[in-house]
Amino acid sequence: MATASALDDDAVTHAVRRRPAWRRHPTVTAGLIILGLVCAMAIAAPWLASIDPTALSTAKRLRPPSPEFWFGTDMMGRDVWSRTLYGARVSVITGLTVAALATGIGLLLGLLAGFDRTIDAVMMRIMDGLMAIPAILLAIALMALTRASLGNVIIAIVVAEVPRVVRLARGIVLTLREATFVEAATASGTGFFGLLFRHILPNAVAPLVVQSTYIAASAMITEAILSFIGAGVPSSTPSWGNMMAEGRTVFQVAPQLVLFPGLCLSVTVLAINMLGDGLRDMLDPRLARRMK
Amino acid sequence: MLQDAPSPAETVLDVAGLAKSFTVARSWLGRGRKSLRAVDGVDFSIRRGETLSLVGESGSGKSTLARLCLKLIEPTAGRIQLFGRSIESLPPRAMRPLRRNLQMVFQDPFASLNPRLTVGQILGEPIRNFRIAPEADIAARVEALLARVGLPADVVSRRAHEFSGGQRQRIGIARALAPEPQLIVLDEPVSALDVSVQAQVLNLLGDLQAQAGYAYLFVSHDLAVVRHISHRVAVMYLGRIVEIGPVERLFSAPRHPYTEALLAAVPDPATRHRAGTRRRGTGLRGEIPSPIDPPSGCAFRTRCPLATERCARERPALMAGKDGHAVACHVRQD
Amino acid sequence: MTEPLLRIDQLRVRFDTPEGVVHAVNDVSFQVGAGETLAIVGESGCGKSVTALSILRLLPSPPARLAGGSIRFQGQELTSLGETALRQLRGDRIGMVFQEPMTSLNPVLTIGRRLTEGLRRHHGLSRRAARERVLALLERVQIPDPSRRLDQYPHELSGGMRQRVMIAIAVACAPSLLIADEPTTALDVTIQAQVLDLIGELCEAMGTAVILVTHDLGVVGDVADRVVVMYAGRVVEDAAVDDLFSRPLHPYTQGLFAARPNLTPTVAGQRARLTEIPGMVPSLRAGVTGCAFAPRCRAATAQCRAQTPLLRPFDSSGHAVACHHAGGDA
Repeated sequence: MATASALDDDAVTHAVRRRPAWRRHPTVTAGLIILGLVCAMAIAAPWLASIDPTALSTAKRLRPPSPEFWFGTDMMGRDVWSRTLYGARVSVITGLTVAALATGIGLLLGLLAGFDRTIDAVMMRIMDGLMAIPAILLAIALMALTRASLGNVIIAIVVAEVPRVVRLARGIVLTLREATFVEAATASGTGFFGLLFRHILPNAVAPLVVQSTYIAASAMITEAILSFIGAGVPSSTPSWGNMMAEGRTVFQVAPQLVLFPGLCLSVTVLAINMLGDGLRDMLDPRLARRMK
Repeated sequence: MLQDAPSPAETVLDVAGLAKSFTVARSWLGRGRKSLRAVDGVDFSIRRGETLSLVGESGSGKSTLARLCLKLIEPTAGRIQLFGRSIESLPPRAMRPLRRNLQMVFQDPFASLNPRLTVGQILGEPIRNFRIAPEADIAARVEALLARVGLPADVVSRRAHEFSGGQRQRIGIARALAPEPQLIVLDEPVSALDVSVQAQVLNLLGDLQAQAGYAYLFVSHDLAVVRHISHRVAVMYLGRIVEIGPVERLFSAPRHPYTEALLAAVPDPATRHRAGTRRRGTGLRGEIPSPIDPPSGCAFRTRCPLATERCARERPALMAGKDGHAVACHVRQD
Repeated sequence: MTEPLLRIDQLRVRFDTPEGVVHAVNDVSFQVGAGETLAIVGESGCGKSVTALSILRLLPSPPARLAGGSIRFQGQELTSLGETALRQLRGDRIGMVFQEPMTSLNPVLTIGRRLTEGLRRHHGLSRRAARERVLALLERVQIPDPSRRLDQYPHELSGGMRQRVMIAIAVACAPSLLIADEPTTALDVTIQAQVLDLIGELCEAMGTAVILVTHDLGVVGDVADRVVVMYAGRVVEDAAVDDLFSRPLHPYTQGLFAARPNLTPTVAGQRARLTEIPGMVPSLRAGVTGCAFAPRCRAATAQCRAQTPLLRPFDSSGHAVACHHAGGDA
């Protein structure tokens, strides 16, 4: 408590940063490495997977892991390794797209709410209403209205995630509007758009980036749940969620059908959360200083 | 119009009846709004090359008044004249070019600089906004500004967090100087700084005024600093000026009991009492009342040793005396 | 020679940060006699708060680390004391008052709950008896309408009132020593005068010694008996308050006096320039060789830059200074 003031700022801020950034923030580094591997898996799936993930082979059903089928086969004789690789595509696309869309839309709505009192009053009541429904239930309800496709899954999850971003963005905008440096910029003759694009948005980016990582993780899980209960991507497209759903019935004979996609999902989500936590510490200098 | 060389006694800013209320609490169902009169009918003017200080305790409304003068917040009532032109009801767009004449230095040298911008970007902003110099000359302008506040030219590419409090305040001052303003409002510019750095910044402010004839509106709670830097001083209490006058007269012969009490409360190494006879019990009793529900009549009467029955009934007006020394007190007016 | 109430010897405190070790307090020694008011003055980063807080080991550790030295209180060594024994000292024989009272009061407890809790736990008082005691305490710190205050939450009180409550807590058990870390820095000047008067009166009445940490030489002159001036983690001067004010010996102390504007100017009607101390406080990260003030000192010589001056007695009155050239025409 008193140490921050007791220590001279110069001593802290003028310090020579001896260690490189990637060593000072090991969680960010580890998260990025794992995510990089998952993305590489998703992109390189056609080359890494020697067998067509949808190729049926009744003769080779429920094989245990072997040199031929690294992760074994499912009850229709499809190669689990190939399916897991292609499943990574669904997860990565869902995570990235939802994070980008929800953050973009949320930021826009949050800005409007942060600058206009009337819009604020109306929008925040709507957002409160949406937030009162658990995100997963909202997504299930929305999927019930449409046809199962990856696009619809993404839209449903975005709708469920947007209110959280709006809330955060609005709070940030309201705080930054009152910030002394924004007042100072007004005194320097900066107009509304100058304030917005030079002073408010750049300072809002860091917390929103952190939030978007959590949204990506949450979107991947939601997609897996939707697919697991059959309300997600069509079963013809392999995804970690519907792989687990299909493997569930034969879990006792062939646990690898649930284990491998489940493990991939867990590790990916863990990596994203590590990245998010690390970024939060890295981008928030106040917090970082407190942790020293 | 503003580029003409002004006469020595030219009035830069003149405010009259300036007031600002904030709605503080709405009771349940939005009925019975309460308002807080942060600034409650203030008159003063500042001439070129002059330093007028606003002193008072927290809650006296001095920072709100400073921001009103710059129209960083909109006044509820009253008139603000910049070189005789009323600006109180100008919309933001029309106000923007006039801001060139009115600049501000903020109290908190950490919060007042955008952490994402370099020093060059921070200082370039007002130069671009007010079209002080063509794009090609901006770098040279910035360098000249840095030199004026005693910073080396190579700091332009650094960001605020790399500087100490005193250096940041110099950057804040350079930003205020950038459009060559007529009036600079200084809101507690040295209260966040250590004594040795405070002296550096106060000297810098004095030198700049001597060179360029800026008018300063200097907001401070530190009477020793005010004594040092001001030509005239206005003492505020609960949103009103209770005493205003030339610095020498106000400090040597204060007339309002609140001014007297403020001066008595300052622990001053130079006027220190001998050991054993420590100053005790000469201070003011009680605390500043809430501006939401201020006392009737004279706002200071609840803490005033001289208060009479008339003080509760009637609000004393600020009455001018000799040498521009004015006081708002029934007891001390005559 | 009798043992003083508190004796600090060669105290060293380090902060382990990712960017390196900060030498926050270096070989600090001073003592406080019973009933005496000692002021520790200096600018931010000089180690004055760190010194005061390390007496009761109130610094978060890590990053803070006691790297050497001894702290003896009433003949008892505190540096080797266990956490339980130390906790018994806190609030009982040594009271603490901090700069921002809001952070040291739990926002969800009423003032009454906060105050009676300790009394009921430590002294086994009944609810009613504890309330009586607390009312008396609040009256003692001159809080108007104390029975109403007991049911209020910290945010409902002004800064001055909160600081009075903190003082009430600190002096509840009539401690032998009160450590006040910038107790009035966040307060207005009229309230500051009230709070300083209150601390002075209470401690005089109880014979409590006070360590007052402050950056304000004016406050020092008003309340202290003795003064320790710190710079860059070291004591540079230690003197009775009158000696220090009439004859500051260290160039830094002299600079502090000269840099401060006065209420009573020397030349009437003329605005003199303040005497600046050029430069900035050095970083405490690298070990400083020689006198830490030398880069800002006009009288610095080659000796100052090479050799760290030790605190040595200057005269028989107990005025001590850490400067190679003190007493000369520095």
